[in-house]
Amino acid sequence: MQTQCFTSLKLNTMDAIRECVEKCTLPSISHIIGFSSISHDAKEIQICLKEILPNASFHISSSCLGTMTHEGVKKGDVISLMFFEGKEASFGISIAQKDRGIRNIAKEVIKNSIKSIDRAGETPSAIWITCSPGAEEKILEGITSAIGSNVPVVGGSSGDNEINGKWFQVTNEAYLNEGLAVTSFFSENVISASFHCGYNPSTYKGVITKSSGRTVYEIDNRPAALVYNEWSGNRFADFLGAYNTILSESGLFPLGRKAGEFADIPYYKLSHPESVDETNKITFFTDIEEGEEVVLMEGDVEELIKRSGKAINSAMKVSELEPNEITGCLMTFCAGCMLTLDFRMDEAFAEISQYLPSHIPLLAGFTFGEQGQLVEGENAHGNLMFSVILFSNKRI
Amino acid sequence: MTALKKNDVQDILFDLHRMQKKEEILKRECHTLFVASKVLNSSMDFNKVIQNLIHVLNNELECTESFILMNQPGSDTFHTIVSTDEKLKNLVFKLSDNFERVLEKHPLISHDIREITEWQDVLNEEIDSIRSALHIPLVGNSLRAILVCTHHEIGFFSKSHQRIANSLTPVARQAIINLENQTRLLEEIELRKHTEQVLKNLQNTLVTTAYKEGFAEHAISVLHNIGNLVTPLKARNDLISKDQSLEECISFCQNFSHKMDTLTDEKKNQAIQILIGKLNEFSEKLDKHQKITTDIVNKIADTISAQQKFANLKNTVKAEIKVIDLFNEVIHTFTDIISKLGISVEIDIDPMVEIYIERNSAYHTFLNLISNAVDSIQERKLSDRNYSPSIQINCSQDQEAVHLEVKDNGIGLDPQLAEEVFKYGYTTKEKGSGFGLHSCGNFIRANNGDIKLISEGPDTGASLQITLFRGGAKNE
Repeated sequence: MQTQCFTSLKLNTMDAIRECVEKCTLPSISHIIGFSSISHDAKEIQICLKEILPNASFHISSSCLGTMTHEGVKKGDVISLMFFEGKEASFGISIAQKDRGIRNIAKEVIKNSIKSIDRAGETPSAIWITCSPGAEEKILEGITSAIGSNVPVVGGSSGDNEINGKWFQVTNEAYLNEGLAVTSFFSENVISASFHCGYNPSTYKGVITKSSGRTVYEIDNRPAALVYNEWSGNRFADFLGAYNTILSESGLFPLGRKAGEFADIPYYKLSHPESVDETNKITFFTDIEEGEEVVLMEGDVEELIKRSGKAINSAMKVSELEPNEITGCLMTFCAGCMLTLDFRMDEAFAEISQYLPSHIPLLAGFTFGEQGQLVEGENAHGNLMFSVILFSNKRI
Repeated sequence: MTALKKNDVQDILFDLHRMQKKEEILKRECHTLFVASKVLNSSMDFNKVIQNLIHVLNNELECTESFILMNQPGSDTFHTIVSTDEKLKNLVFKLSDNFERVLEKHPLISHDIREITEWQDVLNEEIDSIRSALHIPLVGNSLRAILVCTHHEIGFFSKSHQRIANSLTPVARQAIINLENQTRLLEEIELRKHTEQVLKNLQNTLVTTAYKEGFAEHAISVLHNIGNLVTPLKARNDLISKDQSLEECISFCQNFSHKMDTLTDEKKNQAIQILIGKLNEFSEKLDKHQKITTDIVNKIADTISAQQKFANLKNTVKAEIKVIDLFNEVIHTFTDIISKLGISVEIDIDPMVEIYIERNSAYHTFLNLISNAVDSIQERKLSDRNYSPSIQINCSQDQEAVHLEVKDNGIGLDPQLAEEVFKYGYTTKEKGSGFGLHSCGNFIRANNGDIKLISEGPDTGASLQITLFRGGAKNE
């Protein structure tokens, strides 16, 4: 499965897409996966791609503030497209509006994507998913109910610049603001995935005693924000008792929920605190259920920088891929981490380049939630994580 | 030296654990492949191999049930030929794109068989519990089959299963080709065995037929040779029966007895002297008859004895024989008939010429030649009583061969038929058997010789020319 990835900073969508396409030297383009800043209009992206590449399928998602490719981090008005050659691979796409009964919608979307290339019933090698933030857990449940839990589901929740719902998902079929889009990959070569976080558990832990969806009211029967503030060394004292966004400040202190154990070491799905309010409840980017044990996770910038590269390295180790066997890499990079790293994102990119030579096409979007395959093989949704999928020319 | 951070230690532990898990998976995959390969190469019996294969894989892959579907060339359906569960043995699948792709050696993992076209046509209560399936091609040179491992859970089969399927596909293909070759080889061996048996039977039939033919030919040869001897015996018998000497003696005695009283002693003495003379003459004739008859009877006895030896498959003994002796003997046998027909016999044989041959058979061969010449003369005489019959026998030799010729001026033969006379059953005589010259030809050719008959046409006589080549015969 050969890939190439190009970025354009042109403001005009048609010009930007044309620039990327013109740079592409693949013998043919069967499928495109892309990330775009919200400066490009979803409808316009669909029109342009259909016009320029009428025979290719595409799956584009918005990304927070910019994108990252093997050429580096590009912020601002940007669109990055990864082109896939169809030789020895197939790509099925589908998109749907998120609505009530999202579990069944996800189930249908995944089936439709497989059916779209006449492979109904056949298990894909991997799934690439992008959706608007919210209900990602149910989406994963829906996908699992359709195809089982053995297929890596990798992707991210579409980002925007100000968390104000300007995110989008685009495919040949539709452009949506609150949608769910998937690409089903079929390949006879190895596709490898990994899902990583750059945080360690602290000694602070408690049980969720009152919650609803993504809102946690109480931990250990006390207002959640008060407990969280105590655990984090009073870092959030100024935000308590009123509505405040704490997304940036909480970037190094997410809550972790034990997802499993590997080598007798627990590993965690992360939940990123978004805001507090006058009642001292906290809203997150993941669902947290009553009865779940949460632990305060601790991170630092140095570790985040290193972790981004290690996520790639981990995906290589999972399938024993050598750099020369890798033909492309898709990544969802938590927007929260990106914001935390800020001007040190170049160091994170350098870390990634250490494992993934710069000639290998890389496309990463900055997302508001990541989906990926955890170390024991289960698919999960988390925050402040790095999710990676590697394509290769190595036969299974 | 910088100390390892907690995350680094965790990474190392993760890597170690990952490697351990990978090792376990690889071991399991290797074991599955090993046992599957072992089964594939365990027997030359295809049915046994596939029966074992599905059971082994079913266990190794922890499947619910497994079965094998077979597609006959030219057919668009697949039938179950073997399964781990009886209720799956009558499944019929229609060939469509998915199975076509599997047959092109691409294993297919289905997370939900209800979405697969081929399965949709066969959905019934028998397969109600099946949800996911792994389809492994079993394709040889002529075999088109798919091994289907199933499970009751959606999406049960994973990358690990796909790796096993991918690895097993070429192994299975090679094993199947080997099986096909072995089967074809066995079939060929069976066919050859059968052909060999048919040939053996044919050979036996041929031997039996040849034996019967040989036996018949032998019997005919015996009868013919005896027949040849009976002819002069019969001629001799005719002579005896037609001889008036004894009747004359009896009549003389009767007259003598009537006139006894009237005859003088002198006359009586004269009469007795005459009677004694007649009786002596008759006695001499009888002696001669007896001698000739004894000779012929002895020849018949010799012939029978020789044939008995031949019948016992004992080699008859060859010896250097003077040609002049053989012909004198033969002519002696025919003395009466030659005399009766007034045949002039001229023999021009170098007394030194010898041939290395089995005596009895050579005698009968030459007897045949003279017998034919006599018969030919006798037949011509029927229409031309005034002609002077003759038989000429010539024999000469050179460095290469002994040349013999028996020439008569009998009935002769159409020159175009000269070759035919040596074929079995061919005869120009009214009561001929068609065996005599055929037998002569066989004998001469068997003794490194050549025989031909030359005639210019009817009533011009015939010449039988024999060449017996030297060399080799003594060394046989």
